[in-house]
Amino acid sequence: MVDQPLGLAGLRFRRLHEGTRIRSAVGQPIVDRLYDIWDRRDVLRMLVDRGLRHKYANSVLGYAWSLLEPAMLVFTYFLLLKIFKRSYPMYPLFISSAILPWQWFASVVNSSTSTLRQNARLITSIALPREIYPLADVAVKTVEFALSLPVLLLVAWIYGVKPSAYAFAWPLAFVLELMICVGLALLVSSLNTVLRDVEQGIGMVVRMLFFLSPVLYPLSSLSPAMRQLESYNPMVGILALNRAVWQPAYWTGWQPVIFSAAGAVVILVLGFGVFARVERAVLKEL
Amino acid sequence: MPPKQKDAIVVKDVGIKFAINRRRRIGVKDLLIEGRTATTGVGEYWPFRHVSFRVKKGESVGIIGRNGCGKSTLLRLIAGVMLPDEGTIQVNGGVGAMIELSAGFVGDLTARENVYLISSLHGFSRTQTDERFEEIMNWAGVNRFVDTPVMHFSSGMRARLAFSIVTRMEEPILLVDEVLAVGDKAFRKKCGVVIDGMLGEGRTMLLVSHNENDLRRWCQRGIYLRREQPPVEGPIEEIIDLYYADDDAT
Repeated sequence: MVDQPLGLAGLRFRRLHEGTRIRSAVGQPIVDRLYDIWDRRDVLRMLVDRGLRHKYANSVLGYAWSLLEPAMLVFTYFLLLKIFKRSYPMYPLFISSAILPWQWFASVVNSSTSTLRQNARLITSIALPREIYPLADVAVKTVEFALSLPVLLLVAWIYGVKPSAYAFAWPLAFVLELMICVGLALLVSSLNTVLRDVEQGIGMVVRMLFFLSPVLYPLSSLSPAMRQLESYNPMVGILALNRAVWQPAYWTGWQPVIFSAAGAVVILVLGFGVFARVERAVLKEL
Repeated sequence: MPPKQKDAIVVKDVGIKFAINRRRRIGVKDLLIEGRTATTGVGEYWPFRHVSFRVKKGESVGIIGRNGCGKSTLLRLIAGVMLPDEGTIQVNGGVGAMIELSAGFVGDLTARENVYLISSLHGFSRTQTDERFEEIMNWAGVNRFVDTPVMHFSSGMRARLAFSIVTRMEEPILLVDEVLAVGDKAFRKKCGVVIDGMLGEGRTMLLVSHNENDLRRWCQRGIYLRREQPPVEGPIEEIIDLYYADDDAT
C-alpha cells in the first residue's frame, strides 16, 4: 500500500505502522515506554512548537513578554527589598541570577497540574505515549527560561560583572533542574488527574518553598542549623550554583549541590514510575 | 506465532472497570505496587467483561449496542488510548483511529499550521504532509482559508478538514467511531465514497455506529455489545435484527 519513495523518516514511519501491538492489563516496562517516547520525538517537537506559537499568537508584544515578565519580577522584588531596607550588593543581579531559574521551576510545577486535562481530547483519541504532554510542557517552559536569560545578561552587563569560574559548572545546575522539572511534571500532572487535592496543595508548597529557598537572601545569611535544614530542598544547590556564576562570594560549598543531584535523580525516577502506574486511572478520568 | 496470516485484531477476555462513586481511593501502595488495580471491590462498574473476538485482515466489522454499553470504550481500548483492566488486545498492523476528529486543533493557529500539527500527531513526517497538503485542502474545500485561524471556521469546515487529514493515513486498520454522523448530507456522501475507497484497498475496519444503513453498507459482520452480558457475534443483518428485537422488548 505504501509504495512512494521513502526517506529516513519514511523508514521510521513504516516500522511504526507495521508493528504488532499488545495492550494488556499488565503495564509496559519503563524501558519500552522510554523507547516509545523517543520514537515519537517529532510529536514532542510539534507540541512544543504549538505551545510557543499559541503563547505568542494574537499578542502585539509577542516575544518581548518573555523578557518583560522576568524583568518586571526582578524590579518588583528590588522595590520590595528597598522598602524593607534589606539589600545586598548589586541586588538586581543578586535576585535575577536566582529568580529566573526559580521561575522556570515554579512555572513547570504550576502548569503541570492542568497539562493532561488540557490535552484530554487528544490523549483520548490519538495513541501517543502520554508522557509526551508533560514533557512538551517542560520543554516550552525551558525555552521560556532560555528566552528570559537576556535579562540576567543585561543586568550583569550594566554592573560590569563577568561570569566566574563557576560558569563551567552551570550546565550541571541546568541539567539537575531539568531533571527535577521533568520528574515533577510527570508526578504532578498524573496525580492531579486522579486526586484534585494535588493542585491546591502544590501551589501552596511552591509558594512556601520560594521563601524557604535562597532566592531573595543568600544561603550564607542563615544560621548553620537553618542552612543544613534548607539544604534538603533540592532547589537550593541549583540556585546556589546559579548565583555563584555571577557572585562567587556567596558560594557555601558543594554540599547543597550534592543533595540537589540526589533529589533530582529520585524525583525523576519517581516521576516516570508513578506516571506509568497511574496512567490507567488517568485515562479513565479524562 | 504461526506463519500463516495473522488476524488484524485479536481481543481476548477483555474487561474494563470504572468507579461508580465520584471519590476513589488510591492508596500509596496502589501507586507503588504493580497489578493492584485488577482486584475487584464494591463501587465498581464493568461495562463489559470477558469480551473476546477476532477481526480478520480485510474484514469490516460493525459494533452495535445501546448507549453506555461500552462501544466507544472498546474502540478506544483497541486504539490504545485507554488500557484494559483485564485481558489482552493484540493489534497486528498500524491503527488509524478516527475517534474524535477535531481533537488537537488549536483555534489561534491557521489551517495550514493545524494541518501540519495534526498530521504529525497521526504519524506523518513533515515531507509526507508537504506531499499531501494540497490534496488535504482540496478535499476539505477550504483552500481559500489556508492562512485563516481555525477558530473562525464553522464546525462543518473543521470537520471536513479533520476528516481530510485523517483519511490520508495509510494504516491498514481503521477504527471509526460515529464520525460520519457530523456534517451535512453532501459531506456524509463524500465521506462514504472515501470509506468505500479505503475498504476497496483491502483495509480492515471496525465501525461503531447507530446508523444501520452505514453498518449494512460496509460491514459483513457485527458484534452486539450488551450490558453485563456476553456480546453476540454474527452476520451483520442478524445482529441488527437481534439488536432491534431487544430494543422493542424493553
